[in-house]
Amino acid sequence: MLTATVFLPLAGALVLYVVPRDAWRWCAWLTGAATLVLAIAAAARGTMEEHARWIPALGASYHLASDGLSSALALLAALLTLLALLYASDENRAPRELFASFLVMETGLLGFFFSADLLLFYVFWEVALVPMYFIIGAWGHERRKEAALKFFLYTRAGSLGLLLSILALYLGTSPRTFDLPSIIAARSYAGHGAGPSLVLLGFFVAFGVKLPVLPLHSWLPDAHTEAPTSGSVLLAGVLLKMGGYGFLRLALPTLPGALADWSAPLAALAVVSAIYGAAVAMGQGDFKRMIAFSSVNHMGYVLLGIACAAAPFASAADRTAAATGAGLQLVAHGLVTGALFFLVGMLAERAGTREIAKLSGTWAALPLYGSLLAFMLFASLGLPALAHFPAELQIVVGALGTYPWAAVGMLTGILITTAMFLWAMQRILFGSARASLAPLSGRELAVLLPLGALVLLLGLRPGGVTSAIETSVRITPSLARGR
Amino acid sequence: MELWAIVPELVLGGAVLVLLPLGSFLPQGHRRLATAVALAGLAAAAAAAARMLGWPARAVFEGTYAVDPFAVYFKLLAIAATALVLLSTVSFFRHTPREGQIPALLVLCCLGMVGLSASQDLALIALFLQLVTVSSYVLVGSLKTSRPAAEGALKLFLFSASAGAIMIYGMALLYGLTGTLAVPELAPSLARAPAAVALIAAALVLAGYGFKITLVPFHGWAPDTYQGAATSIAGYLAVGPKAAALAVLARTLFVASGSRAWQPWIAAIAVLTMTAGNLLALPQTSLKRLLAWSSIAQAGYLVVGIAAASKLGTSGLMLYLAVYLFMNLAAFLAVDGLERRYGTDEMERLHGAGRRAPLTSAALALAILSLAGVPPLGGFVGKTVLLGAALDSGLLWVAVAMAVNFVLSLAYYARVLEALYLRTPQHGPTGTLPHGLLIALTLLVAGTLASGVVPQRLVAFTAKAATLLAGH
Repeated sequence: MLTATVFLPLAGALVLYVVPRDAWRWCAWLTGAATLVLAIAAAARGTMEEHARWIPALGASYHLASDGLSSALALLAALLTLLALLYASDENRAPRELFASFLVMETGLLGFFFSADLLLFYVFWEVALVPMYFIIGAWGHERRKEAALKFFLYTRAGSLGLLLSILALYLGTSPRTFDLPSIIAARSYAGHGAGPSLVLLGFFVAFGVKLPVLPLHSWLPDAHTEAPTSGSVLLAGVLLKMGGYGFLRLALPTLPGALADWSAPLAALAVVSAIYGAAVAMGQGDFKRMIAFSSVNHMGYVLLGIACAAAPFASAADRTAAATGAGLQLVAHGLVTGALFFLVGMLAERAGTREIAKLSGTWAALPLYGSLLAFMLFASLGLPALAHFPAELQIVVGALGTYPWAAVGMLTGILITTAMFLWAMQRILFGSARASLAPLSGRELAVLLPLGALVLLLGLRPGGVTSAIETSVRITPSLARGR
Repeated sequence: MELWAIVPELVLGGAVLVLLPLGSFLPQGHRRLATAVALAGLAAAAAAAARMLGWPARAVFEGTYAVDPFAVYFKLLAIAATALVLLSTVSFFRHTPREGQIPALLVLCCLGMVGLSASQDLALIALFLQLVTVSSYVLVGSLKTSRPAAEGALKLFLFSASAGAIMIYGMALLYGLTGTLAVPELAPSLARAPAAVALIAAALVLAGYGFKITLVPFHGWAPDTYQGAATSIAGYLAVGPKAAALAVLARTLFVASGSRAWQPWIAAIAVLTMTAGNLLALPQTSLKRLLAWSSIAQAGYLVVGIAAASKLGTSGLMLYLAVYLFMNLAAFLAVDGLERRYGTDEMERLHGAGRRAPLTSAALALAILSLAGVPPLGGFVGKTVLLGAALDSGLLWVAVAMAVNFVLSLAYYARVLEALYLRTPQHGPTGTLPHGLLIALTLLVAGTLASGVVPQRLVAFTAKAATLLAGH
């Protein structure tokens, strides 16, 4: 079932090349919808495992597994891909290639979230990267080629850190294997010292670029801004999640000792990154760039949660809260920022500009759009009862028990974000009304409303997702002790 | 006589003897017969070699010629490369007298490469290296009327003549030191010889091998020669002779040397070669020159497999060479296809080829992504094993240098993708591709994909063959 979920989008992408032109859209939508249904069914089944021989001579196998965290992120990927396909369906520049790129990327993302073999994990990690290069480079805005190249180089540089670290784990485990559960059980790099720290450095470069965290973030604003709307949605909504997921799934269980050694610097870096992201976002005149930088802020909290979960003296409750908060933050950010990029794209298409200064009076011109934008911006700044609140609350709780100064820093960041978004709302929604804009179409509403409903649901009833994530990130005492 | 051990060589030699007169005297219109005879000879040689894959390792002809899976593997690679290039290149020379002669030259070169794969006697190595050099010199010069081809051939000739002379001088020194030309018997005598002289002799021999592998600093001939030659021939030079010379380098180092004192030197040359290749590929605007420098960089990665001096390293070298044959030859042949339809290999003039010539461009893009090591293509599997081998042998700095180089190489590989897919088309292609080129390209692309997605048999075989190479 996992295999079917992962490879259905790829099959759909191939089918696109045999059906006639009129059917492209439907074929893409159907594939996206069917994949989402499969992902929901897989999530409903709870944990699953699939195993097959792949390269036995290297100790690599085709090993997929799902649990709460991976299912939640796979659902997010499947949902956002479907919505991106819906939104992009009136693209007239090579639409088939665009749909195929989205679907191939979906295969990479789902495979990545379900992999339990490190070589497979790496393969899917890269499969998700290449289509994004083409999406930014071919369908993006004016400076798309530079942005695409920058994205490609940064992420590939990160990838090689990941590859080196994976190889170190492989070579350090006896007998040599890429199987993640076996590597975790072998605990060969679970202790302290230079070796585990070097492996952590490789992971940090890879996942830090993706997340992104200061100072590895400079590809992000260009890539997000130059990508087409649907590309930005997937970039912010799902691709950034790969970094957080990598920390939670790979770094935390395999390198508890090294992460504990470095947890204080990582927490400090996370706070600096979050505050920096918020402050720079505030200074942006371009609405899309503002949202892009706000991702640096939100992802900083994810790293903070991970650092606190690894802190050497943390209590089990604090660890669980911080790691769960980090996982939840990934889901919340995917929904909220995905929706925000859709909203920015819709407004920019109508107004012909993304300059905040020129967008005033939107609420009067587009009441429904204005309400939805306000709703998502409130969600993004962490308003209670909306998606980010339970996530950020748990991270703060975890931080208070481990690095209280980091909790203070995080609250400062939230304060700046609040001020930034309120100020942006004031400038965009209010002010002198402008010429009338076309109201939201049915398809646009179909894209936005599910996200809005999920943001509300995750804020009001976070219990189900929280407990699903909690069971997958729980750190057993023996794992945390290191060696 | 142990003729049973050299059936593939005998078949190839026989084919050359038939082809040399046949190719020159066939009347126009019947010259395709030469290609058919050459392909048949190659197929027969491949079948004979494939039968030897499972044979136990031993040496024949008084220990001068090895029969082991390592040698047979390289023989098969050489034959495959020759057949694929032959398929795609004859149409380039159609209706010229060369059409009849190219098959003979290719098979002759193949014979040299096959011989190199198994030789463990310095005199034999020198002989086969010269055979490869002389035939490739004529192959490069086949475009008689083209000035770049003449320049390329001349450069190749001058470089190879000096490299060959230096190598033979080194071999003479080795003979003087040890009193033998047999590679397996060098080790004990060399241990007693003055270290400085032994080092000089080894370095001189290495120069001869390094010239064929395009190791820095013996790489200078490659870009001009590749650019001047017909593109498929350039691809052949970048794949075939390089593989054979790597086989002989690995065998010489592992078998002749008891110690691993050469390890840091070879590692340094590997890193130097990949870095120089990648740096100089960056500013290239012609696809052929870009691929030439990229092939130099790839040679650097390959040598890491030898520098690792381990079973994992040797299997990585063998594995990556097969993949390299698929992807690098695919890249050269795809460029050949674009060049024939656009009349140029300048990237500027190929803008938007992804839309105008979708299949050839897709093949080139796939080959480029594989060269860059993007999974799930073969290049990724090979690079991963080589990286792992470097780490395993404690060469952390080599592994890091490789990783940095992978990123560096991406900067120019991405430029090719950009030219093909992200630029608006300005020029249109004309004509269609010959069938031979299409068949070869399809096979190579399939190989690039298969070696990445289902590499298990290749991995398992190379791991086994690496164990059997004497010296481990």
